[in-house]
Amino acid sequence: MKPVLDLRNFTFLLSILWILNGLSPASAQEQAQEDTLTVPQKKELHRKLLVMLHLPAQHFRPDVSYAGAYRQDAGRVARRQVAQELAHTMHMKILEDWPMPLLNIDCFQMELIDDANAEDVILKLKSDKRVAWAQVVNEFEAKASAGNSATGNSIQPAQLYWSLREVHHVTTGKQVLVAVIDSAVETQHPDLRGQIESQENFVDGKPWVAESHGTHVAGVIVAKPGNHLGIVGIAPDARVMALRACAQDVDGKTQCSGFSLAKALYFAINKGVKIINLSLSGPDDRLLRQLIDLALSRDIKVVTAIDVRRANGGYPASHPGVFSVSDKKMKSTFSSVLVAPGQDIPTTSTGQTWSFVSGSSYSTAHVTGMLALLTQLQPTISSDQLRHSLTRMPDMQGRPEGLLSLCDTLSKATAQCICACQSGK
Amino acid sequence: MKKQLPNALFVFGSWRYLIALAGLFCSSSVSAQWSASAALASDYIYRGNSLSQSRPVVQLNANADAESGLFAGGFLSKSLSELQSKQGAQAIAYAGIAKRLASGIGWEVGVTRIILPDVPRWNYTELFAGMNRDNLNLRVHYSADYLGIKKKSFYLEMNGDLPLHEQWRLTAHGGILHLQDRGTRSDVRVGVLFGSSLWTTQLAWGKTLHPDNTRLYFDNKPTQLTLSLHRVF
Repeated sequence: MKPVLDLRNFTFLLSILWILNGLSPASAQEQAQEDTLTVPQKKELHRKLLVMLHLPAQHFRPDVSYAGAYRQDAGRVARRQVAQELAHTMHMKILEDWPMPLLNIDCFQMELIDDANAEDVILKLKSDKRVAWAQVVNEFEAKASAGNSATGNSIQPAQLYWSLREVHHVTTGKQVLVAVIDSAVETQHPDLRGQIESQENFVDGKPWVAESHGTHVAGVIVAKPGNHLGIVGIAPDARVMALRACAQDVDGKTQCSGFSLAKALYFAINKGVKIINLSLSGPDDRLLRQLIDLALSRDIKVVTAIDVRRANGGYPASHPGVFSVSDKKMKSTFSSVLVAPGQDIPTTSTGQTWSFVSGSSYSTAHVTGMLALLTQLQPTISSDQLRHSLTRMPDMQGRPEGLLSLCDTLSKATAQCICACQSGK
Repeated sequence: MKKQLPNALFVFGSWRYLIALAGLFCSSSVSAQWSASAALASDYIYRGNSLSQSRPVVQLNANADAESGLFAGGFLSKSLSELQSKQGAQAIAYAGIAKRLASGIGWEVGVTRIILPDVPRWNYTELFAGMNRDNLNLRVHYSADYLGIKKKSFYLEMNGDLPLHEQWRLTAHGGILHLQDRGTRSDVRVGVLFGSSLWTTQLAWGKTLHPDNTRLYFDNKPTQLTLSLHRVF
């Protein structure tokens, strides 16, 4: 009797795989075929590009006996060779390689070594079937303005408008994992010591040095309470991961490479954070778009700052599903933008000091803290439920127009009266 | 016994396989990623059996991955059994489809054809399906005619690795083979792996439980200690 699985059946089984191949859902790269070309909106001189090669899923291989993820290494060598060939052909050099299995891509950062135009190189790469897609490395910037020094007794708007002391009797954001993707945080600041669970540096070639913007943002979210010093964070018991993807330049501005942001975002998503704070803005970016889509698909709340200088509010504020925040009420085009305290905010600063800061960066940090407080009370609350719970204060002189009400938002989300429901006073 | 050199066509299947595999890759919209490897192992341990009578072997593998998730490849190793010639070999042709979900969980299904060119009556086909996440994978293999003895077999395996420090990793494997009317055999293996993406070396200790239950043509080796050197191209 012939065995059931003979040569002809083996061929039949391979044909089944052929059919499965045709029925299988298109990959993200295939679905975005109509958008494979990412070209900078402005004719800026971009020297660094990101070249994405497809990263195959893990599968059976007899040669790499028994090991798990180690199986990826064999393919990594092959992809590196393809990248080297592309770099050689396009007159580029490979700077770094960062596999992103969750996006099914291996991301190579390359730099042009001659006067070639980045747009032209991207067009050529687009026609190479080995390349999933290519884009320039975009630059992002923090949304903040410098302020004056503050004293430890400065009144926080959050205490004034959000009844923070009362709220902290009910929730402090305990155990909620928050990623602050920003410049380096001064983790040994007296008001932050012990409050930062972990720190990672994704900025190439720059060792960790405490920087202003990240320190300001972290202070707004988790500054230590009860130490008779400085300020109190919105969610002082949240677990903050300080992910440095931005750096402070000599002029004091905080700049972020799109690639560093992507690495930090990927890291945060992989670590299972609940909330990601992005107090920054820049141009639309395909890689960040995919990462934020991934975060949102995992119900990670992404909070980001609006940039009024850009027609669409900048990116990632313009990404559907994120919580976009401003320090002042916006015109009707941006009616969904949330308003949170963002003017003259006392917060932690470098050199173990405190200062007043202003800008939508800090409004973003306020909303991140708010979401952490809510998440402690409702760990499984979805972004849609959260958005439905957001409540604004009635407009009143002396108070920012359209300001979010922390008390009423928490009350609505939890069906409890958190602060004696005293909003509006 | 008539000495035979491994037949290259048999090693990677007949013309039917080649046409089917070519068709699978032609249907993909982008070119495949090809990789190859070579290894030198002190012993060829396969599911708790020594397939080389505790002798060192050279192993080769070629693999292709298409963007669609299709993959295919071929593996060749020297093997020695009671009935094989000194030029005995084992080849594995494999193909399948693997996908990774946004959650990070991956799945795969596929088929393997295990070929022993100098004892073709032992050739058999297996179907496999598996899931994986990060550094862990779980896979089940089914054959309706294991090693040509007309018995069904199931082999369930779990594999994992743990990064230790920089280039060091700990690897682990556990497998259970159930052979119709013959019983069950299980094998475990732990190893330490050192190296980069290009070169790795692994020292592994393995143990096979109830080896006599399913012994067919190859040596039982209740306890194994193997050293292997692996190079990727």
